[in-house]
Amino acid sequence: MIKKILIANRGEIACRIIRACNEMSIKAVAVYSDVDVDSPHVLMADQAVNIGSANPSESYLNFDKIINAAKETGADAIHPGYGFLSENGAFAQYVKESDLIFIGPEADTIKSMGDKAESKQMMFEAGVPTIPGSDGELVGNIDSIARDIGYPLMVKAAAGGGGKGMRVVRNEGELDSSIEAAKNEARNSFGNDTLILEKFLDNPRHIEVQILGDKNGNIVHLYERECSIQRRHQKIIEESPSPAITNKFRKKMGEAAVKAAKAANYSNAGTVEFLYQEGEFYFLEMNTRLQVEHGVTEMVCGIDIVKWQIRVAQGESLTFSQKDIKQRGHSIECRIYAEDPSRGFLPTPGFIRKMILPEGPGVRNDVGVSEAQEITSSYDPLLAKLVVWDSDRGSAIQRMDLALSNFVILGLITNQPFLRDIMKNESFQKASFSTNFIDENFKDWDFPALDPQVLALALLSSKASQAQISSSAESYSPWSNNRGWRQGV
Amino acid sequence: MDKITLGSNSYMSKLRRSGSEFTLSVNGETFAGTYSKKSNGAIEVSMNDTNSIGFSEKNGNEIYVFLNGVNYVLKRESGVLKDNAFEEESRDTVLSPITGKLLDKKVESGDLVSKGDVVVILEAMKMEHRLKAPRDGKLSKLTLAQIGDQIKEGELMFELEEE
Repeated sequence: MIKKILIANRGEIACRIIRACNEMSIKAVAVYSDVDVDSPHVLMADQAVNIGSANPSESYLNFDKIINAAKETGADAIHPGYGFLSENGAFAQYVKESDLIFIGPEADTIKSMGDKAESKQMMFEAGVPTIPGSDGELVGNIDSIARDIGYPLMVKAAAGGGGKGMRVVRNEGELDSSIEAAKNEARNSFGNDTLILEKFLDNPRHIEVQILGDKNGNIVHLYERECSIQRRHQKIIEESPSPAITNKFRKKMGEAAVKAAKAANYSNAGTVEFLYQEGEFYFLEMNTRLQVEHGVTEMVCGIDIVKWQIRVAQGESLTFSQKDIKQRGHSIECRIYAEDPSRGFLPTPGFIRKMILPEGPGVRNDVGVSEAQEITSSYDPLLAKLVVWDSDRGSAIQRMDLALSNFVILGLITNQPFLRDIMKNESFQKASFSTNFIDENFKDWDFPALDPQVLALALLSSKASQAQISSSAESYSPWSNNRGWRQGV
Repeated sequence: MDKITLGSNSYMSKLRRSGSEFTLSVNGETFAGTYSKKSNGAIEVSMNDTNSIGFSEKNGNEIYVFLNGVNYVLKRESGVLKDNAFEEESRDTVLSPITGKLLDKKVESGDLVSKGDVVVILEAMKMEHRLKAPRDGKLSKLTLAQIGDQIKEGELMFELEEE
């Protein structure tokens, strides 16, 4: 039985995993880089270990520092979260060789699914529909491969994920520069610049299926998530169920995902991503880790995915089968990012001077930042995930807009006003959208014209009120009693 | 007069207080209202027969406001005498739009560039940002920062020689 888990991550997902540990009476060890010393995940954990400088390769991506931290604190398992080392097969193998449990699938599964070319071939052979494209790694005369597939096409990092290392190529003239840009991003994000080319579907929806498997061959799906609302190929709003598909189609997609997972010899939690267009769906990739947007599935299925990851990792079997799993009601997630939607979603680092989270029935906050915290440019700009649940999609949208309208965050630009505008958008409400939704509806989005009341309030802010607010912020802090201890490595 | 900017809109504003009352002039229009401060730091503003409670904080030339369900970051220029600050930003100077890291310089100072050529590549929060030449011309200035150096938002990245 696992008694102590080291969480090799930071931010909201580290906090999410620590909560699951707390509920299961498992000790949680946080790791942190120098700039994260006062981050919520560090203060929430039972123990915390400094693993180096802000540069991820010196800390959150450093195998040895993480394994040493686990050994030194007596952890028996490592949860990688998402991003960082979560889809690094070599790391999973190293964890196992270090006599620790890796909370995720087998290293071989991660490796084959992490290679977009290999995974696509595997799915093709298993009879899962795939997108036409380059067969395997991109070698030889790229121009002629591209011509054969036909424009527009997509250049993608074979080791990619999260929208990084991806470029749409509209015509031959853009091919060279797109390949170079994708290579650079791939090298920087994944340490591997292998690319593949694929036919670009021009108006698809992104629909993915959550998978959960144990080590005894049981695999179920927890239905789908609709993740079409994206900017720069990264999701900002997700929901479950998808409003686009019928129950019959839902079943077909779920079965295809289970088939895909079985082909990959899958255990633990994972996600099979599909593109859906005009009644057809195609395998996009399999994410061999916990997904950012897992919360919406938990809300509609009533299954705690993180706890099941831990149970499965210690050899327990699933206690339910496919027929026991039902979708109930509707759940939506909005990702609150430190970014400026009026300037191409550029990251906007800053200092959180005040934060008040929305509350109420059916409202869940997965947050990894706190008041008086500096948001640096070293890491992903995701601040928080706001998740709501209600009986149907219309009510859930209404609840989300209300929750967003009660989300106070002062000190840096966020996408909060933009998310509210999406909730009020007619095409969004009618569920009539594709992954082009933001480009089509919000291309030149700007902050609203200011009401004189806002200007009055702005000019009424005084130095005195500032001092008052920042001193009251400290007494709000739930971290005044730090029950953990820390050490350096 | 303060010039307050949000996105592409600017407002020439002035606020005069007297006890709990204030008058606000915005781009020549005048409004009257009252306000009161709450113990949790919130401020209640009454104007045009509507009451709203929000938060507002100043820091340097930025003001952070939360009111009626929206968070704002406003830029403020104090003591602007007349409306002369609306001048067009020079198309010949390209500033860094972000705080991040210099990833690459594609050309050297003195080089000729064509409109759309990538001059500088920056990285922030793991995303690449390519700064391109806004027109054809000769690069008269290029950032002296080295590859890997930190770049601040608003820092001069390159300049094109006058046409």
